[in-house]
Amino acid sequence: MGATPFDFDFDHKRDVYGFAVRPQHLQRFREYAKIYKEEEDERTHRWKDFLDRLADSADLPSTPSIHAAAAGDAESAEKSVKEEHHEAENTDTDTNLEYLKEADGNEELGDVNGEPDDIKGVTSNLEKPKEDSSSRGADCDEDDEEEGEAEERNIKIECVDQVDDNDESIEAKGKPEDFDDVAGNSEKLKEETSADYVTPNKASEEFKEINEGSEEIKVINGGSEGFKDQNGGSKELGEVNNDNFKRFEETPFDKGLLDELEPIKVESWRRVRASLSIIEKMMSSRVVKRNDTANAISGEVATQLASIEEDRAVEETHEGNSAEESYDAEKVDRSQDGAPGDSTSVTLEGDNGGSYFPWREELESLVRGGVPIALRGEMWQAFVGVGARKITGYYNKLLDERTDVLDEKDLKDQVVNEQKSSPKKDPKPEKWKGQIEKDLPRTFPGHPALDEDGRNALRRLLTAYARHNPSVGYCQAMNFFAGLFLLFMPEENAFWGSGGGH
Amino acid sequence: MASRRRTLLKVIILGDSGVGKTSLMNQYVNKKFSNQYKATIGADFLTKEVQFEDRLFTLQIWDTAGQERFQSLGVAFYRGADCCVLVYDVNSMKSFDNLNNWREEFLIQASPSDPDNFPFVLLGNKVDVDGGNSRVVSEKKAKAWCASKGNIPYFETSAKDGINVEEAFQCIVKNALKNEPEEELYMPDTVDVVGGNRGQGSSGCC
Repeated sequence: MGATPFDFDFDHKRDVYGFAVRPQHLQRFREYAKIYKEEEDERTHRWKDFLDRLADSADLPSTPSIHAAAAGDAESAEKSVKEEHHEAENTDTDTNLEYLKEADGNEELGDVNGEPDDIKGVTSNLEKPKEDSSSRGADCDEDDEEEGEAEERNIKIECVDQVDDNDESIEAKGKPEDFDDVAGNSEKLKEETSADYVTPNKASEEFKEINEGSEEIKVINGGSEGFKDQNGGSKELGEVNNDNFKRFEETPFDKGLLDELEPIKVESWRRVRASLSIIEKMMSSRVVKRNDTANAISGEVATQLASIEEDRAVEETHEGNSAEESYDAEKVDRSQDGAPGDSTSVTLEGDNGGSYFPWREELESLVRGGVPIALRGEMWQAFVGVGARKITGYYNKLLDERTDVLDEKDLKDQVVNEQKSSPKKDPKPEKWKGQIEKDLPRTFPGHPALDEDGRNALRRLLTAYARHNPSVGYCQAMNFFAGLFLLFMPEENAFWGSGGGH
Repeated sequence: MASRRRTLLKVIILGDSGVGKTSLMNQYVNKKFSNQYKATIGADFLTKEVQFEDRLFTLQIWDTAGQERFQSLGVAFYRGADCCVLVYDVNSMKSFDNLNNWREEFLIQASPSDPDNFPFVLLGNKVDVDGGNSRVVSEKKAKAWCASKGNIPYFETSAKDGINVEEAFQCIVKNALKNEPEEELYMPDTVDVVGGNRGQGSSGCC
């Protein structure tokens, strides 16, 4: 490690993404890096301004009022948590955070007035900012203090349950042992960890997802969401998960107690920050509305169930460009009638009238101007609607459960699928395993993020996708896409963002 | 036209994923080896000027992706090849076993005019690994395979240490030119029509 992606680090000869600059290009890189940094600062500023205004004008119909300060805090806290996570786990580019921090510092100067009545994604907490500022470079200290103050002020405003929300968010990242009051959740968790439980479990997950989806769309509150994050965060080996869940079973769902539990799991799922949730909501809701306009945002379970199905069909078109070809002609046709051209304009011009999202044109132009690196990962997720696609526990189930059980149980299925796509293939399931192993060290070789932990994450991500979509399995070049996603977002977000939704 | 045909040699490198196709190509062209190659997606190519029997050729080396599913792209890449280099890893039996598939697939997709005599060269790569202790495909076995396919030239190489790479590509050039005399029969006509203003036109007589 040591190099600092997402930073303009001339000495380490890496670009902002952490890729080594070739010696013959170093000179030019240095010349242009400053210009790029200026442009990036400008972009950051414009986005910050936009998001602030977005949050301020949050009295839009059915739009949650997210206060700018709260959003800002969410950003900072999430970043600091992310940083902490990265440093602790060495998974991703711990180095990429310096840039984030800088941008963060710039963004923190927003106002702190008003009522933060939606704190779902707000992760303001009292410890993190201190660590944050201490670990941050000296040039950012001022910003950090301001940020810390802002957060404290916020917390004063917030009532107790909102603080709980904060705890949740934090724990979803660093200390995942956090359950909310949903008693049924414990059962579900047990189910998810038991290897022989497949179909009904999925149904219940979908149900969960629906709940989550509706929460996200309505952005009502943060309640009962932390547990999902926690669950999504359990990407460690099945044994660890089981241990973990046993403890939950024995422990009353008392937040105070749970808070004491040791963080066992690595962060692998992170919610998109609050300030982007409006955009995410829009992206999700246009999909919902496509299917059932009347009930689109009602949050009713039945409606959501249908619309999420539609959701996947629609978004398949958009994602077909990257991870895979859109091989399902039927779905493509269905979604294309409303969605020709590039995904951005499509989504923006979707079913939502201009009056509904009066800022969509500005957003469009901002996107065309480029998304600041600090925001990019989350912006991608917001646009894809990762939160709405996610089926809690599915990712881990793909990884954990099927590793042992799959070979007998799903063998037939998979063979059929494999042969459908390529008749010449061995009738051997998971034959892509070897290919993935070969490609792990050949994905962004030398990039600091792809150390052992980074490769493990990449392996899991590719494996999960291959199992999720066995007719495609693994294809070379997915490793680069997946690797890129991992530079910008946690593992499970990357899964749902990179094609896991269909 | 005649001159272009003769000075550009298109060579395709085929073989399983990870046997060292990219490394071989880079060792030959750039005289460098890196542990940090990226997986090749689709195909890539490098060119190198080579001198052979007083003539200068541009060797266009196509490095292909080893993953099976990229074979569907083969038609586009294989066509017009003058020589096909098959690579396997002497430490991987599977990569050796797949040679038949690669060869047949190439012949199907490239559909050369004379498949039986199309020049192949076989390279057994990574002989350096573990001092040869992890080797699973014997030289004898490889040579037997070559003999069964019409005496394909065989080289044991190490892209890492640069062993036999130069020799192998010299042979590749030589074999790529083997097909040429046949085509030269057609050249005079072409040259006459175009006119004698191409210097290289005379070199065809050599």
